[in-house]
Amino acid sequence: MKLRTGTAVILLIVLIVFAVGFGAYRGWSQERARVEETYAGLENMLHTRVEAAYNVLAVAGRHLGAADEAVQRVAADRDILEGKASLRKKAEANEALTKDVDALLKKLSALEQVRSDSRDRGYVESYLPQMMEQSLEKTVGANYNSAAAEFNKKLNSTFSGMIAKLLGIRHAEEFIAQ
Amino acid sequence: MRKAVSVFLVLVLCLMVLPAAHAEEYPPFQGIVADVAGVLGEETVKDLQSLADRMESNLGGHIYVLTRHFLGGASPQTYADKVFEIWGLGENDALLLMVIGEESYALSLGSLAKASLPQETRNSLLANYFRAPFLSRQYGQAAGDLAATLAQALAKAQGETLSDSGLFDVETVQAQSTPKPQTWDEIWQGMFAQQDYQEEPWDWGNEWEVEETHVNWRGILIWGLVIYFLFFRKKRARRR
Repeated sequence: MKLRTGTAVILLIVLIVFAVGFGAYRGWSQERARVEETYAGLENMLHTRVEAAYNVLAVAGRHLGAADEAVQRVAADRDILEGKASLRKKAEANEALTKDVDALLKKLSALEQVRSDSRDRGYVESYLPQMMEQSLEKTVGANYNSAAAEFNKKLNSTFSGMIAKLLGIRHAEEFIAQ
Repeated sequence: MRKAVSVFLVLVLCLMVLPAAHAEEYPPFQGIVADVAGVLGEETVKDLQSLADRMESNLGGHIYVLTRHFLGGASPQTYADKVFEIWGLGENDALLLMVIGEESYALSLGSLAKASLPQETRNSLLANYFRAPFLSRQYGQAAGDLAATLAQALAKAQGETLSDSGLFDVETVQAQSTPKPQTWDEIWQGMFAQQDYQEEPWDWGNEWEVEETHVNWRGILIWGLVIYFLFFRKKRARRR
Protein backbone atom coordinates (compact mmCIF):
# COMPACT_ATOMS: atom_id res chain seq x y z
CA MET A 1 0.00 0.00 0.00
CA LYS A 2 2.87 2.33 0.98
CA LEU A 3 4.59 1.51 -2.27
CA ARG A 4 1.46 2.25 -4.24
CA THR A 5 1.01 5.64 -2.58
CA GLY A 6 4.66 6.51 -3.17
CA THR A 7 4.42 5.50 -6.80
CA ALA A 8 1.31 7.56 -7.23
CA VAL A 9 2.96 10.60 -5.65
CA ILE A 10 6.02 10.20 -7.85
CA LEU A 11 3.85 9.75 -10.91
CA LEU A 12 1.89 12.85 -9.96
CA ILE A 13 5.07 14.87 -9.52
CA VAL A 14 6.45 13.61 -12.84
CA LEU A 15 3.19 14.50 -14.53
CA ILE A 16 3.15 17.98 -12.99
CA VAL A 17 6.79 18.58 -13.94
CA PHE A 18 6.13 17.34 -17.47
CA ALA A 19 3.00 19.44 -17.81
CA VAL A 20 4.72 22.57 -16.52
CA GLY A 21 7.82 21.96 -18.67
CA PHE A 22 5.85 21.11 -21.80
CA GLY A 23 3.50 24.05 -21.31
CA ALA A 24 6.36 26.46 -20.74
CA TYR A 25 8.32 25.19 -23.73
CA ARG A 26 5.31 25.25 -26.04
CA GLY A 27 4.12 28.68 -24.92
CA TRP A 28 7.54 30.30 -25.13
CA SER A 29 8.26 28.68 -28.49
CA GLN A 30 5.10 30.30 -29.80
CA GLU A 31 6.10 33.64 -28.26
CA ARG A 32 9.51 33.34 -29.88
CA ALA A 33 7.91 32.53 -33.25
CA ARG A 34 5.81 35.68 -32.96
CA VAL A 35 8.96 37.74 -32.41
CA GLU A 36 10.59 36.08 -35.44
CA GLU A 37 7.58 37.03 -37.54
CA THR A 38 8.21 40.71 -36.87
CA TYR A 39 11.82 40.30 -38.01
CA ALA A 40 10.73 40.52 -41.66
CA GLY A 41 9.53 44.04 -40.90
CA LEU A 42 12.92 45.02 -39.50
CA GLU A 43 14.65 43.53 -42.54
CA ASN A 44 12.47 45.59 -44.85
CA MET A 45 13.28 48.71 -42.88
CA LEU A 46 17.01 47.93 -43.03
CA HIS A 47 16.64 47.46 -46.75
CA THR A 48 15.43 51.04 -47.06
CA ARG A 49 18.63 52.12 -45.27
CA VAL A 50 20.69 50.14 -47.78
CA GLU A 51 18.79 51.76 -50.65
CA ALA A 52 19.35 55.18 -49.12
CA ALA A 53 23.08 54.46 -48.93
CA TYR A 54 23.11 53.41 -52.60
CA ASN A 55 21.38 56.65 -53.56
CA VAL A 56 23.84 58.79 -51.60
CA LEU A 57 26.75 56.90 -53.16
CA ALA A 58 25.27 57.40 -56.65
CA VAL A 59 25.50 61.18 -56.21
CA ALA A 60 28.87 61.00 -54.41
CA GLY A 61 30.26 58.87 -57.23
CA ARG A 62 29.90 61.79 -59.63
CA HIS A 63 31.94 64.16 -57.50
CA LEU A 64 34.30 62.07 -55.37
CA GLY A 65 36.33 59.02 -56.32
CA ALA A 66 35.60 55.54 -54.99
CA ALA A 67 38.84 55.78 -53.03
CA ASP A 68 37.58 58.74 -51.01
CA GLU A 69 37.56 57.93 -47.30
CA ALA A 70 34.06 59.25 -46.64
CA VAL A 71 32.67 57.32 -49.62
CA GLN A 72 34.39 54.13 -48.45
CA ARG A 73 32.95 54.45 -44.95
CA VAL A 74 29.39 54.73 -46.26
CA ALA A 75 30.00 51.82 -48.66
CA ALA A 76 31.33 49.70 -45.77
CA ASP A 77 28.27 50.46 -43.60
CA ARG A 78 25.99 49.59 -46.50
CA ASP A 79 27.82 46.31 -47.10
CA ILE A 80 27.34 45.26 -43.46
CA LEU A 81 23.66 46.16 -43.53
CA GLU A 82 23.22 44.29 -46.79
CA GLY A 83 25.23 41.24 -45.77
CA LYS A 84 24.70 38.45 -43.27
CA ALA A 85 26.21 40.09 -40.18
CA SER A 86 24.66 39.65 -36.72
CA LEU A 87 21.89 41.99 -35.67
CA ARG A 88 24.21 43.72 -33.21
CA LYS A 89 26.72 44.43 -36.00
CA LYS A 90 23.92 45.62 -38.25
CA ALA A 91 22.66 47.91 -35.50
CA GLU A 92 26.16 49.35 -35.16
CA ALA A 93 26.46 49.78 -38.92
CA ASN A 94 23.04 51.41 -38.96
CA GLU A 95 24.15 53.97 -36.38
CA ALA A 96 27.45 54.51 -38.18
CA LEU A 97 25.62 54.98 -41.49
CA THR A 98 23.75 57.99 -40.11
CA LYS A 99 26.99 59.69 -39.07
CA ASP A 100 28.97 58.65 -42.15
CA VAL A 101 26.30 59.76 -44.62
CA ASP A 102 26.02 63.04 -42.74
CA ALA A 103 29.78 63.56 -43.07
CA LEU A 104 29.74 62.59 -46.74
CA LEU A 105 26.86 64.92 -47.56
CA LYS A 106 28.62 67.79 -45.75
CA LYS A 107 31.77 67.08 -47.73
CA LEU A 108 29.80 67.03 -50.96
CA SER A 109 27.94 70.23 -50.24
CA ALA A 110 31.27 71.98 -49.64
CA LEU A 111 32.50 71.10 -53.12
CA GLU A 112 32.36 73.89 -55.67
CA GLN A 113 31.20 71.54 -58.42
CA VAL A 114 28.22 70.49 -56.32
CA ARG A 115 27.39 74.04 -55.30
CA SER A 116 27.32 75.06 -58.95
CA ASP A 117 25.16 72.08 -59.95
CA SER A 118 21.64 72.97 -58.92
CA ARG A 119 20.29 69.43 -59.35
CA ASP A 120 22.95 67.69 -57.27
CA ARG A 121 22.96 70.49 -54.73
CA GLY A 122 19.24 69.87 -54.33
CA TYR A 123 19.91 66.18 -53.77
CA VAL A 124 22.78 66.74 -51.34
CA GLU A 125 21.24 69.51 -49.27
CA SER A 126 17.62 68.54 -49.23
CA TYR A 127 16.49 65.33 -50.85
CA LEU A 128 19.02 62.84 -49.51
CA PRO A 129 19.14 64.16 -45.90
CA GLN A 130 15.34 63.97 -45.72
CA MET A 131 15.40 60.47 -47.10
CA MET A 132 18.04 59.37 -44.58
CA GLU A 133 16.10 60.90 -41.71
CA GLN A 134 12.91 59.18 -42.70
CA SER A 135 14.55 55.81 -43.24
CA LEU A 136 16.12 56.06 -39.77
CA GLU A 137 12.77 56.80 -38.18
CA LYS A 138 11.30 53.77 -39.90
CA THR A 139 14.15 51.55 -38.72
CA VAL A 140 13.97 52.69 -35.13
CA GLY A 141 10.23 52.23 -35.14
CA ALA A 142 10.34 48.69 -36.47
CA ASN A 143 8.18 46.39 -34.36
CA TYR A 144 10.95 43.83 -33.99
CA ASN A 145 12.88 46.00 -31.54
CA SER A 146 10.07 46.27 -29.05
CA ALA A 147 8.91 42.68 -29.58
CA ALA A 148 12.38 41.24 -28.95
CA ALA A 149 12.98 43.45 -25.91
CA GLU A 150 9.62 42.53 -24.41
CA PHE A 151 10.19 38.82 -25.07
CA ASN A 152 13.60 38.86 -23.37
CA LYS A 153 12.27 40.80 -20.42
CA LYS A 154 9.44 38.32 -19.86
CA LEU A 155 11.71 35.33 -20.42
CA ASN A 156 14.01 36.54 -17.66
CA SER A 157 11.40 37.63 -15.17
CA THR A 158 8.82 34.82 -15.15
CA PHE A 159 8.93 31.33 -13.65
CA SER A 160 7.78 29.66 -16.87
CA GLY A 161 10.39 31.69 -18.75
CA MET A 162 13.15 30.33 -16.56
CA ILE A 163 11.92 26.79 -17.18
CA ALA A 164 11.74 27.50 -20.92
CA LYS A 165 15.34 28.75 -20.81
CA LEU A 166 16.38 25.50 -19.12
CA LEU A 167 14.62 23.63 -21.91
CA GLY A 168 16.53 25.49 -24.62
CA ILE A 169 14.49 28.58 -25.48
CA ARG A 170 17.01 31.29 -26.35
CA HIS A 171 16.79 35.06 -25.99
CA ALA A 172 15.78 37.01 -29.09
CA GLU A 173 18.68 38.96 -30.53
CA GLU A 174 17.97 42.63 -30.05
CA PHE A 175 18.65 45.28 -32.66
CA ILE A 176 20.81 47.43 -30.42
CA ALA A 177 24.33 48.67 -31.04
CA GLN A 178 26.89 47.94 -28.32
CA MET B 1 -14.33 32.15 -27.41
CA ARG B 2 -13.79 35.86 -26.92
CA LYS B 3 -10.04 35.30 -27.06
CA ALA B 4 -10.33 33.27 -30.27
CA VAL B 5 -12.43 35.97 -31.90
CA SER B 6 -9.93 38.64 -30.83
CA VAL B 7 -6.96 36.66 -32.19
CA PHE B 8 -8.80 36.11 -35.47
CA LEU B 9 -9.62 39.80 -35.80
CA VAL B 10 -6.04 40.84 -35.02
CA LEU B 11 -4.82 38.40 -37.70
CA VAL B 12 -7.25 39.88 -40.21
CA LEU B 13 -5.93 43.34 -39.33
CA CYS B 14 -2.34 42.23 -39.90
CA LEU B 15 -3.24 40.78 -43.29
CA MET B 16 -4.93 44.04 -44.25
CA VAL B 17 -1.83 46.05 -43.37
CA LEU B 18 0.50 43.92 -45.54
CA PRO B 19 -0.78 44.94 -48.99
CA ALA B 20 -0.57 48.61 -48.02
CA ALA B 21 3.08 48.12 -47.08
CA HIS B 22 3.76 46.56 -50.47
CA ALA B 23 2.05 49.40 -52.31
CA GLU B 24 5.14 51.60 -52.12
CA GLU B 25 7.49 49.28 -53.97
CA TYR B 26 6.80 50.33 -57.55
CA PRO B 27 5.01 53.35 -58.94
CA PRO B 28 1.41 52.70 -59.85
CA PHE B 29 0.39 52.46 -63.46
CA GLN B 30 -0.46 56.03 -64.45
CA GLY B 31 -0.94 55.71 -68.18
CA ILE B 32 1.59 56.50 -70.88
CA VAL B 33 3.75 58.75 -68.71
CA ALA B 34 4.63 58.22 -65.03
CA ASP B 35 6.80 61.24 -64.32
CA VAL B 36 7.62 60.39 -60.71
CA ALA B 37 10.77 62.56 -60.75
CA GLY B 38 8.82 65.47 -62.23
CA VAL B 39 11.26 66.30 -65.01
CA LEU B 40 9.06 66.19 -68.11
CA GLY B 41 7.23 69.21 -69.44
CA GLU B 42 3.51 69.30 -70.14
CA GLU B 43 4.02 69.43 -73.92
CA THR B 44 6.25 66.37 -73.84
CA VAL B 45 3.66 64.44 -71.86
CA LYS B 46 0.93 65.53 -74.28
CA ASP B 47 3.02 64.54 -77.31
CA LEU B 48 3.90 61.17 -75.80
CA GLN B 49 0.19 60.59 -75.30
CA SER B 50 -0.57 61.60 -78.91
CA LEU B 51 2.15 59.29 -80.19
CA ALA B 52 0.66 56.47 -78.13
CA ASP B 53 -2.76 57.11 -79.70
CA ARG B 54 -1.29 56.95 -83.20
CA MET B 55 0.64 53.78 -82.33
CA GLU B 56 -2.50 52.21 -80.92
CA SER B 57 -4.28 52.33 -84.26
CA ASN B 58 -1.27 51.29 -86.37
CA LEU B 59 0.79 48.95 -84.24
CA GLY B 60 -1.39 48.03 -81.30
CA GLY B 61 1.44 48.94 -78.94
CA HIS B 62 2.54 51.96 -76.88
CA ILE B 63 5.70 53.56 -75.63
CA TYR B 64 5.52 54.21 -71.88
CA VAL B 65 7.86 56.55 -70.01
CA LEU B 66 8.76 56.30 -66.32
CA THR B 67 11.07 58.73 -64.53
CA ARG B 68 12.56 58.17 -61.06
CA HIS B 69 15.16 60.02 -59.01
CA PHE B 70 16.94 56.88 -57.73
CA LEU B 71 16.56 53.12 -57.74
CA GLY B 72 18.27 52.31 -54.43
CA GLY B 73 20.98 50.15 -55.98
CA ALA B 74 18.73 48.21 -58.34
CA SER B 75 19.86 47.62 -61.91
CA PRO B 76 17.89 49.92 -64.26
CA GLN B 77 17.26 47.11 -66.74
CA THR B 78 16.01 44.71 -64.06
CA TYR B 79 13.83 47.43 -62.58
CA ALA B 80 12.40 48.38 -65.99
CA ASP B 81 11.66 44.74 -66.81
CA LYS B 82 9.85 44.28 -63.51
CA VAL B 83 7.77 47.42 -63.95
CA PHE B 84 6.93 46.26 -67.46
CA GLU B 85 5.67 42.99 -66.00
CA ILE B 86 3.86 44.55 -63.05
CA TRP B 87 2.08 47.06 -65.23
CA GLY B 88 1.03 44.18 -67.45
CA LEU B 89 2.30 45.83 -70.65
CA GLY B 90 1.73 44.10 -73.98
CA GLU B 91 3.93 42.29 -76.46
CA ASN B 92 4.30 45.29 -78.77
CA ASP B 93 4.79 47.81 -75.93
CA ALA B 94 7.99 49.52 -74.84
CA LEU B 95 8.90 51.10 -71.49
CA LEU B 96 11.58 53.77 -71.22
CA LEU B 97 12.96 54.21 -67.68
CA MET B 98 14.88 57.40 -66.89
CA VAL B 99 16.73 57.50 -63.55
CA ILE B 100 17.61 61.15 -63.07
CA GLY B 101 19.74 61.07 -59.89
CA GLU B 102 21.74 58.10 -61.10
CA GLU B 103 22.05 59.36 -64.69
CA SER B 104 21.07 55.94 -65.96
CA TYR B 105 18.28 54.58 -68.12
CA ALA B 106 16.88 51.37 -69.57
CA LEU B 107 14.49 50.25 -72.26
CA SER B 108 12.21 47.28 -71.72
CA LEU B 109 10.26 45.80 -74.62
CA GLY B 110 7.51 43.24 -75.08
CA SER B 111 8.24 40.05 -76.98
CA LEU B 112 7.00 41.24 -80.40
CA ALA B 113 8.76 44.61 -80.14
CA LYS B 114 11.93 42.84 -79.02
CA ALA B 115 11.78 40.49 -82.00
CA SER B 116 11.25 43.45 -84.34
CA LEU B 117 14.16 45.44 -82.93
CA PRO B 118 17.30 43.45 -82.11
CA GLN B 119 19.46 44.49 -79.15
CA GLU B 120 21.97 46.20 -81.47
CA THR B 121 19.27 48.39 -83.00
CA ARG B 122 17.95 49.32 -79.56
CA ASN B 123 21.43 50.22 -78.33
CA SER B 124 22.01 52.27 -81.43
CA LEU B 125 18.72 54.16 -80.97
CA LEU B 126 19.56 54.93 -77.34
CA ALA B 127 23.10 56.02 -78.20
CA ASN B 128 22.07 58.22 -81.14
CA TYR B 129 18.80 59.76 -80.01
CA PHE B 130 18.67 59.58 -76.24
CA ARG B 131 21.99 59.51 -74.44
CA ALA B 132 23.31 62.98 -75.30
CA PRO B 133 20.17 65.00 -74.47
CA PHE B 134 19.57 62.86 -71.37
CA LEU B 135 23.06 63.49 -69.99
CA SER B 136 22.77 67.19 -70.78
CA ARG B 137 19.52 67.13 -68.78
CA GLN B 138 17.20 67.81 -71.71
CA TYR B 139 14.90 65.14 -70.36
CA GLY B 140 11.83 66.05 -72.38
CA GLN B 141 13.79 66.16 -75.60
CA ALA B 142 15.52 62.87 -74.79
CA ALA B 143 12.23 61.06 -74.09
CA GLY B 144 10.50 62.61 -77.12
CA ASP B 145 13.31 61.90 -79.58
CA LEU B 146 13.67 58.32 -78.47
CA ALA B 147 9.92 57.65 -78.42
CA ALA B 148 9.43 59.07 -81.93
CA THR B 149 12.42 57.20 -83.37
CA LEU B 150 11.53 53.97 -81.59
CA ALA B 151 7.95 54.14 -82.83
CA GLN B 152 9.14 54.70 -86.42
CA ALA B 153 11.63 51.84 -86.16
CA LEU B 154 8.94 49.51 -84.80
CA ALA B 155 6.51 50.51 -87.55
CA LYS B 156 9.12 50.02 -90.25
CA ALA B 157 10.18 46.62 -88.88
CA GLN B 158 6.56 45.49 -88.80
CA GLY B 159 5.70 46.82 -92.27
CA GLU B 160 3.44 49.61 -90.99
CA THR B 161 3.48 53.36 -91.45
CA LEU B 162 3.32 55.83 -88.62
CA SER B 163 3.19 59.59 -88.75
CA ASP B 164 4.85 61.57 -85.98
CA SER B 165 4.42 64.95 -87.66
CA GLY B 166 3.73 67.78 -85.27
CA LEU B 167 5.12 65.90 -82.29
CA PHE B 168 8.21 66.70 -80.23
CA ASP B 169 9.38 69.42 -82.59
CA VAL B 170 8.11 72.49 -80.80
CA GLU B 171 9.19 72.06 -77.25
CA THR B 172 12.69 71.52 -75.96
CA VAL B 173 12.31 71.05 -72.24
CA GLN B 174 15.20 72.41 -70.25
CA ALA B 175 16.79 70.31 -67.56
CA GLN B 176 14.99 70.64 -64.27
CA SER B 177 17.47 72.56 -62.20
CA THR B 178 16.32 71.30 -58.84
CA PRO B 179 14.08 68.43 -57.88
CA LYS B 180 10.47 69.55 -57.51
CA PRO B 181 9.39 69.96 -53.88
CA GLN B 182 7.61 66.80 -52.87
CA THR B 183 5.62 65.50 -49.98
CA TRP B 184 7.15 62.88 -47.69
CA ASP B 185 5.01 60.21 -49.30
CA GLU B 186 6.21 61.19 -52.76
CA ILE B 187 9.82 61.23 -51.63
CA TRP B 188 9.41 57.80 -50.10
CA GLN B 189 7.69 56.58 -53.25
CA GLY B 190 10.43 57.99 -55.40
CA MET B 191 13.36 56.76 -53.37
CA PHE B 192 12.68 53.31 -52.12
CA ALA B 193 12.00 51.24 -55.08
CA GLN B 194 13.46 47.84 -54.62
CA GLN B 195 12.04 45.80 -51.84
CA ASP B 196 9.97 42.72 -52.27
CA TYR B 197 8.75 42.10 -55.77
CA GLN B 198 5.00 41.90 -56.22
CA GLU B 199 4.38 39.01 -58.58
CA GLU B 200 0.83 39.88 -59.61
CA PRO B 201 -0.20 43.18 -61.23
CA TRP B 202 -1.27 45.37 -58.36
CA ASP B 203 -4.57 47.15 -58.05
CA TRP B 204 -2.77 50.46 -57.69
CA GLY B 205 -5.92 52.52 -57.97
CA ASN B 206 -7.31 51.06 -54.77
CA GLU B 207 -4.08 51.23 -52.81
CA TRP B 208 -3.45 54.74 -53.92
CA GLU B 209 -6.81 55.85 -52.66
CA VAL B 210 -5.90 54.54 -49.22
CA GLU B 211 -2.48 56.18 -49.42
CA GLU B 212 -3.91 59.53 -50.42
CA THR B 213 -6.79 59.77 -48.00
CA HIS B 214 -4.99 58.04 -45.13
CA VAL B 215 -8.35 56.70 -44.07
CA ASN B 216 -8.70 52.95 -43.90
CA TRP B 217 -12.41 52.33 -43.50
CA ARG B 218 -11.96 48.58 -43.40
CA GLY B 219 -9.51 49.04 -40.51
CA ILE B 220 -11.94 51.25 -38.62
CA LEU B 221 -14.70 48.68 -39.07
CA ILE B 222 -12.54 45.81 -37.85
CA TRP B 223 -11.28 47.80 -34.85
CA GLY B 224 -14.88 48.62 -34.05
CA LEU B 225 -15.73 44.93 -34.06
CA VAL B 226 -12.73 44.12 -31.84
CA ILE B 227 -13.81 46.73 -29.27
CA TYR B 228 -17.39 45.50 -29.43
CA PHE B 229 -16.43 41.87 -28.83
CA LEU B 230 -13.99 42.73 -26.04
CA PHE B 231 -16.11 45.11 -24.02
CA PHE B 232 -19.69 45.74 -25.01
CA ARG B 233 -20.69 42.14 -25.59
CA LYS B 234 -19.51 41.25 -22.09
CA LYS B 235 -21.45 44.16 -20.57
CA ARG B 236 -24.63 43.12 -22.38
CA ALA B 237 -24.22 39.55 -21.15
CA ARG B 238 -23.85 40.81 -17.55
CA ARG B 239 -27.01 42.88 -17.83
CA ARG B 240 -28.92 39.75 -18.83
